[in-house]
Amino acid sequence: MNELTVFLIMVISTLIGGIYLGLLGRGIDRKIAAKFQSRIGPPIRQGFWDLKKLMLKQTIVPENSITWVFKGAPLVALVTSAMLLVYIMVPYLLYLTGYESPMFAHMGDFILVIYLLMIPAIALVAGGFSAGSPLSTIGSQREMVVLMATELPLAVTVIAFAVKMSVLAPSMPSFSIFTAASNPVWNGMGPAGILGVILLASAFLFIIPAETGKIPFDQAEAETEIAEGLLAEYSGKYLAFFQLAEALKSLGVVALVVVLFFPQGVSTIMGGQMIAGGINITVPCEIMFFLLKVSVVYSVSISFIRVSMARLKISQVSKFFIYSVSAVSITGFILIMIDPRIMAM
Amino acid sequence: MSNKETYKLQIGPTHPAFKEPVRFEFEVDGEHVLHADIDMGYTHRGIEHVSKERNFIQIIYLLERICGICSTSHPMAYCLAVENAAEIEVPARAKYIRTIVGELERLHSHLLWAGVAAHEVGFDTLFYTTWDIREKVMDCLEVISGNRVNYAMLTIGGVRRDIIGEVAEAVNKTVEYYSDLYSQLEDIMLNDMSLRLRTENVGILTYDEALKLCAVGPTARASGLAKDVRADYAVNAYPDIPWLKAITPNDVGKKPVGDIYDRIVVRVLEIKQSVDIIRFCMENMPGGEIVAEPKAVKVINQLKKVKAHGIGRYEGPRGEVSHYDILDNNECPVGVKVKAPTYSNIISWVPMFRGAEIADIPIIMSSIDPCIACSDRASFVEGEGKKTVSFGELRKLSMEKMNKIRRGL
Amino acid sequence: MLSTVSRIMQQFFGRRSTNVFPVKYAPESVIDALAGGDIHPPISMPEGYRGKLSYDFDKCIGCGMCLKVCPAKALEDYPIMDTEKNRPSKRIVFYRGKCTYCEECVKVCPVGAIKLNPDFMMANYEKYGDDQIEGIEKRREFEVKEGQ
Repeated sequence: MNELTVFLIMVISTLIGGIYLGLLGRGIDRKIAAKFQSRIGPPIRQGFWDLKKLMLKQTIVPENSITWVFKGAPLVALVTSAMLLVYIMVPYLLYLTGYESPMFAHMGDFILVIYLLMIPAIALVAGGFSAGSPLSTIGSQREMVVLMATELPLAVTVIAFAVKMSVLAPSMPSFSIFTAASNPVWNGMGPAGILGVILLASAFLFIIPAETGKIPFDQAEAETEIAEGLLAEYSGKYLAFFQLAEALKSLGVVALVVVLFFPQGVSTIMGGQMIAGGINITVPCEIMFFLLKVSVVYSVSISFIRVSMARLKISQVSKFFIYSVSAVSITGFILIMIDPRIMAM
Repeated sequence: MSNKETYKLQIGPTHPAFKEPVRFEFEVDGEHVLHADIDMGYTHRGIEHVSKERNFIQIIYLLERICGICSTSHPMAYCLAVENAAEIEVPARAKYIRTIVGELERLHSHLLWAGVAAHEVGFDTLFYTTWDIREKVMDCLEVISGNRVNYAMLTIGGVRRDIIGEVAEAVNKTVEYYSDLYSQLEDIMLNDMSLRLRTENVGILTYDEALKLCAVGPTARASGLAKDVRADYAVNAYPDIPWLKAITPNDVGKKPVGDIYDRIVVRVLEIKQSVDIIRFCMENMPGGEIVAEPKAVKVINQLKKVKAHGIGRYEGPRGEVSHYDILDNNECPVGVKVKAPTYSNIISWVPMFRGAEIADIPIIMSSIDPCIACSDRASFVEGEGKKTVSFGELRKLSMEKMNKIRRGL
Repeated sequence: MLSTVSRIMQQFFGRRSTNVFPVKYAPESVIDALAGGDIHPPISMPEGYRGKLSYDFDKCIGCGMCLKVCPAKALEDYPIMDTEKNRPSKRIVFYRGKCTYCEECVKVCPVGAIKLNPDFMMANYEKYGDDQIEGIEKRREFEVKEGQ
């Protein structure tokens, strides 16, 4: 098959599957959260119904808003969230299917992923500021603070990975997701390094809810404080776009964590191809296993954390990320760095 | 600092954090609140006025609907006031039953408050947990009185239903359920990290301020002010309980700061206290009648012959509620004055909001357990709807109204 | 912190607290659709629950005591011709939409013509529709209008 054809199939299937799984993920998340709170919860299809209904609803644009920013922001958020998912998923899918080609070796650059993580948040901020309501202005300010606070631990993690990749696979590009997927970070690690990776993973446990705007880091939307904050003025299809963007972004962030920390596929673990009844079912098994990993990370880092904590104050959030989470991730980084020397001793 | 621009943030009358309409205007600098202004009067229903057209028995059920949560406190204070005026002696058993119903109501009110406060800080699981726990006391009240919210248990001169047989068993079961659950509940409410982060050193009302601003109920007690009508004033079965006292954070060996955490401490301890009081009442309940005069029409006729005024004070879940009634040889009272606990606590919001962050607004606002419907007793119907009245003017208006009542208008 | 987590896990593995809306009280138009799924029985009401009013037209003696104590003025009297005693009398209708379920009329009634049932479903589109007024059929039948 032509490389370009493969690439296009991957992108389109990722987008369609991403939208479907993102909305399904929302439904499952709500169901699990309801179970934690001993409720019944909405049906799992609720995410799709919400979206459908929002698409049909009237869209109101506030009179004193900057119209083009207000209307453009949801689209930017949606497009960049979709891009984020594509950039994370396509290299990983290539790795899973075992399709190797020099054209894809550089695909899914970490630095680009970090920027793509930022853009939906910036679009939200711009939309909130342009709405011209004091509540959404406060929400935008808060979103910016959360955005900036999570940057350092995120960057530290990425650099740690790049350094490790340059040691594990010197012939491959260090900042590529494909490299990270094909060389699990746990490989060739001493005890100090493993501890370091665990520290980085635990930092990510809190970065995921912060990136996706879930309790305890949903200050920007804080329902009881500023009445949905930066989404306060959004309605109808623009709100639907933001919801879809959020669903895609949640899936993307969780997929990133899975790709970075737990990239091992079924074939790696079982040590060979999966064959049932003469048919090679490795690829479907790999995808199922990946979805299982995603749902586990999703329910722990989003559903469980969101039901077991109160919303923090914005000053506490910035302190928490800048001091605690940064310290944890930097310690993890240093441990990974000095690990080869300890091993050599 | 001085040239920083501040802006006004208006919260209310309708807002997701508010269960009842009240409007705040905050002067905000970034995330910090510089000044708070409170505007009330959105739920004025003229209950005091309507009371004057109802007879004494009808008023009980009207006053029950001042507030859904204090639906025993208001009738209790009213019945005490009328009994005080007409010198009706309440049978001992009725006093105990009144105490039990009042304490069950306090239990449910404090659990409800815990849920609301948890929701305000975004801790929805605790909200569902406490409300789930609260279901048991609601079920118990349903067994006792036949309804979950408006109990209709009190009548002038006693209570309407007895606690015997299966009903008594249900109460004992409820007491046991809460005694078993208490340690877990206390641990969750007082030791949860994220909850402590949000509530400690937030919304401080110092001892002096509480004293000066006449705070009542758990709000005052959290500031170290040992003030509890149950302990200070002989009503119901409370004088019979030797160990009853006002609960302050000192009881857990904590110096009262007057922050929201202290208010949680006081309320959680009061849950235990209420359970103990109910157990005491169940064990020591005397026999006898439950009502001085069971026939409602006879009571009305009896009160028709009275010309007196009476005052009733009762410690509701939110603080002291007092009623003042004027009886004047009539089927209806000529004056009913309701003073709800929130009315005394509203003004303590102002020092609490000083130096708070925007994120603290909902939790500070709910920390006094406000009942806006309870305290909206006056409203301007003329002019633009908003008017500032000076102390002198207000005094004059009050005296005019009093004279009107005296003249029997 | 630990007790919070343990409580959450307890709730996760425990029984849910929600009472599902009982099918018995669902509108008739959806009962068929609901019957395909699980049928939820209504939770049992305790003895002495104050629910829907019922009124015994024949027992009533028309003394009007209930009118005096009803706090919501949910009762209305109308004149009838008592055929047994052959003299004018009064009977009552109850507006369920106004009733506060205080049970005062039940307590005050000398002949026990009024009762509160454990039936609690009272949602309706019309506040003063026929099924929200207890005793309206008897009123239509027996009411003596002025001038008759």
